[in-house]
Amino acid sequence: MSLLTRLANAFRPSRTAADLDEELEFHLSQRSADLAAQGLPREEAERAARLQLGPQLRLRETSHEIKSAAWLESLGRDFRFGLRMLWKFRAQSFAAVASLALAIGASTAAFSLIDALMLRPLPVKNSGQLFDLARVFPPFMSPNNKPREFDMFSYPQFQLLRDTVRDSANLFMTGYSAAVAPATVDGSPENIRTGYMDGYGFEILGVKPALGRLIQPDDDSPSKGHFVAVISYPFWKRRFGGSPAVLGRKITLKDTFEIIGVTAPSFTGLQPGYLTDVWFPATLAADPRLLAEDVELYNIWGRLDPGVTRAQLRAPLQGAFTNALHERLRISPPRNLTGDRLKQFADQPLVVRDASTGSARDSLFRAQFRRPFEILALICALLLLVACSNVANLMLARASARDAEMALRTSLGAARSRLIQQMLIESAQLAVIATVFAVIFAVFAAPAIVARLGPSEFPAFLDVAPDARSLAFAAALSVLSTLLFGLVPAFRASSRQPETALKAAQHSARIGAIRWTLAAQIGFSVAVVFLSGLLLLSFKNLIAVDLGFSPRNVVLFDLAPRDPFSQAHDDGTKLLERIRNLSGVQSASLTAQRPMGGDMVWIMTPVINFAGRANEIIRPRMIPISTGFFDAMKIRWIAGRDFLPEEIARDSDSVIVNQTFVETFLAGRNSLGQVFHTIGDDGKPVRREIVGVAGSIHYNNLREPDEPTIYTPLHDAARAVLSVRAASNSRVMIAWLRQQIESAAPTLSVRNNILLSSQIDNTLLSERLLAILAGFFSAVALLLAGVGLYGVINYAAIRRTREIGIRIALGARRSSVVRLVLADSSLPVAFGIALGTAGGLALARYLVSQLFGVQPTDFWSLAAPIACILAAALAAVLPPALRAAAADPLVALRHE
Amino acid sequence: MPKQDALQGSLPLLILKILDRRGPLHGYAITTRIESASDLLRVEEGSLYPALHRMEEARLIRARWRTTENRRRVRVYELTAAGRKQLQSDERRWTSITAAIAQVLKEA
Repeated sequence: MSLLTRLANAFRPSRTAADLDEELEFHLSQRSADLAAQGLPREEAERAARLQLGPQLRLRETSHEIKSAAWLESLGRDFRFGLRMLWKFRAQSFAAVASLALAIGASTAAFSLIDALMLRPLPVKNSGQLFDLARVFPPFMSPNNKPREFDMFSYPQFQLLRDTVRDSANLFMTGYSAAVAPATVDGSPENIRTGYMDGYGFEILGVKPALGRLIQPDDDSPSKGHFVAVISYPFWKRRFGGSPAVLGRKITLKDTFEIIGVTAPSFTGLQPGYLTDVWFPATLAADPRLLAEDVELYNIWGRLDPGVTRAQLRAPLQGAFTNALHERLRISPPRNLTGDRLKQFADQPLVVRDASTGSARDSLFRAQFRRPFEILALICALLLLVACSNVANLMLARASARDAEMALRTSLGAARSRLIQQMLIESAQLAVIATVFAVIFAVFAAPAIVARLGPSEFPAFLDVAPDARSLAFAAALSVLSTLLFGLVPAFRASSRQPETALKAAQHSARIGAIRWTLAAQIGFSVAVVFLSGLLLLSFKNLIAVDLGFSPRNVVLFDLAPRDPFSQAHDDGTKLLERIRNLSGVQSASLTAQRPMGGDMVWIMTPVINFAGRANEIIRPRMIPISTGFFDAMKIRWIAGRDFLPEEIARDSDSVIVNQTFVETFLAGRNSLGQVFHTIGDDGKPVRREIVGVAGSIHYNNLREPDEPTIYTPLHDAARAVLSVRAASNSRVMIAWLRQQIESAAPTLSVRNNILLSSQIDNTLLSERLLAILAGFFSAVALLLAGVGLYGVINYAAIRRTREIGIRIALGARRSSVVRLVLADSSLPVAFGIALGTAGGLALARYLVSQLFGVQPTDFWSLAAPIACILAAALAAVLPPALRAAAADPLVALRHE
Repeated sequence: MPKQDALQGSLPLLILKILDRRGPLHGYAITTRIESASDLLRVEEGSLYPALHRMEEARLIRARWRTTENRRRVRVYELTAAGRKQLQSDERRWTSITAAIAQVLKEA
């Protein structure tokens, strides 16, 4: 009988019963007819027939059970029985549900994050057809001397490429700004995240408006278009409360744009992690000078026509692109590129990349969080294994407590499959209850993690609301964990021989199969604690790094000329004077780049030459600064002097170097007055003379070791960063300073400001996140290890009460009883620690990129987690051991 | 199942054999067939139908409804391929066991 028929039977039991009745009725009539033919009176014959067949009702029931979905009915019975068992062992059930819910919830939250960042397709139709373009920059154009993909193109390049593949794909031009832009939204100032889209982009993507209309072809044209803006759904909700009256409101950047529509709720931009607030027409919003052949600022996206592959598109695009690049280089050859480098630059390969999940380029965000999220997923998976083995322990312990029940059922003829089914149903019930809580946990945990991802000034946006994908993931984990923790106890319970089980149920002292799940649980816990420990130690080392300067109360202001195309320089002397004289300001200085700016490095010309020495190829860091920088930052001063104001004003060849520079190039020599030349790509030497030596600092981030650094006089305050050390870092103080700066330097505006301490924190986003989660997860793992051990040892000790009582009565010492009980746990613990450490070491290589100042094989990396586990184990095992030892032999002997 | 009652499981074997010989039959016909073939064996009618249904469940036999000449609906059972195979092995086992028992009885 097929499953379908069984199901049908289960839902139509009356019909089957009727069939049975009919069959039996026929039998009776035949039998009585035969008996009557043999001469029995009719009534007598019927009675005899009925007697022979036996009680019909009972018959019907046995047959019904066999025929119809006995299986489904037994499922229902097992289900109810399972719930009763969960309630009967409710302390264990609670522990099991809690640990599973935590592990499944954490895993689901991690999945939501990874899905939102890397896996989920863009919410547009046929996202598989989407692609974006990039070219491969030659190695000399990248800081680490490796070829890298670069996805910016100029407007003329876009036009050319669009027209080249017109027959097989639709290309559009888009762009986004990785920083917030100060704008006026509906009359009040607000920092917005801007995106640019040409007139065809939304249509090609298939994005629909939630309100109004989106940018159309006639809106976007360099000379004549419409100054319109489209806002994202979240921005609409947040800023305008979702009011339809938003249409017609104004947003002012350099020009004023009118809001004409809102994008569909699901569409939040093309870069996972970045939420675009406002979209502007790409070419209209740009200054005409940004549309020149050699200004490469835009991303090119496209949608393949049906049946066309990305590979087919590459050749024609490459041909057109290379021709155009060659032509451009022929007309205006770059001054600093010659020979091989020029050729490499001219022949950049073009790549057509799959963009179905958003920009194929690892956005800074993706690049920054890909590995941390993978590590998070790894730890969550381990935690899930810890929880599963923990639940398996509890189930096994419970199963042995039910040995007698199982044995009885087996001897009464219950099929092995029935017992397995029942144990698995109990496991599944646990898993389902846990999954419900897990989803609730994930719903709160995932957004809490997202909130920690972005710097405060530029929060990350990842949509981690529960969706079909994450729910399916949680459900899959639920099934998987049921199998993981349910199968072992199920098979063990069902494979008990009735005789041995009935006997053993009373006297067995062995913990048997539990020993192995216990070892597994401790092993996984050790791995979690070990990996988490590495992350925690790294974070501890990072925040303990001696910066070499003091960030206390230092505020950074990004300066920019009011007119973005102004070439005017401003030496900033007056600005600095004015600011330094303000009450409440201790010191102020200018640098070309934010200290602790992250991964952007100003790399100096690669060759250095000291008189009488061969050229040395290095990449010293170059930091242009104003006077007073070392005072403002409180950097240790080693020798010589600061720049003089006149050195800043004129093109001076004085430089200040850091201690690492001196150690690297001038070991043992008097550095002051030393002269060297730096030689750039153009081959011309530039004279430099050392006038001062400063202590080394962590200028760029906390990880990089001090590099040889050359400080040069900063000529231009117009694109600099002003650092001010003030009496306080209150909001009021910062707003007031901002005002003072803008009135002191009317040609400049403050684009942004941030506390230096926040700037430092922002370089540690992923490390801090991982450290917090690692701390939490290792606490959970330790707790579970303890709970697992306690449960098993306590159970074993109770089972041995009688034996222990006899031993004590015969004069055994209490300490030997404690040892006896502890012995039960020592093997699993030792085995688990060995396994967990080996596994942890094997997995540790995935963490290397996140580690700082710690090696997986360091003594403390290994010793700390093992010590933690041993402490947890001891804490869990001692109470039952002591309890057993304190037992009164008389009470113990009467046990059972 | 190492120690199974030698006689247990003989009813299915008989049912298989009869269905194999006689073709499709209803339950009552199977009882009369067994009874008429042997003076010693009497089918416990209470166990016949459960046995039939269990065998149907195991796909050894197949049931379908037929209508008799006097227009009654009858449930008729017939052998499946699996049933035929089962019959061969059961029959072989049965003969070897009984032969072995007979041997022992004779020579003990």
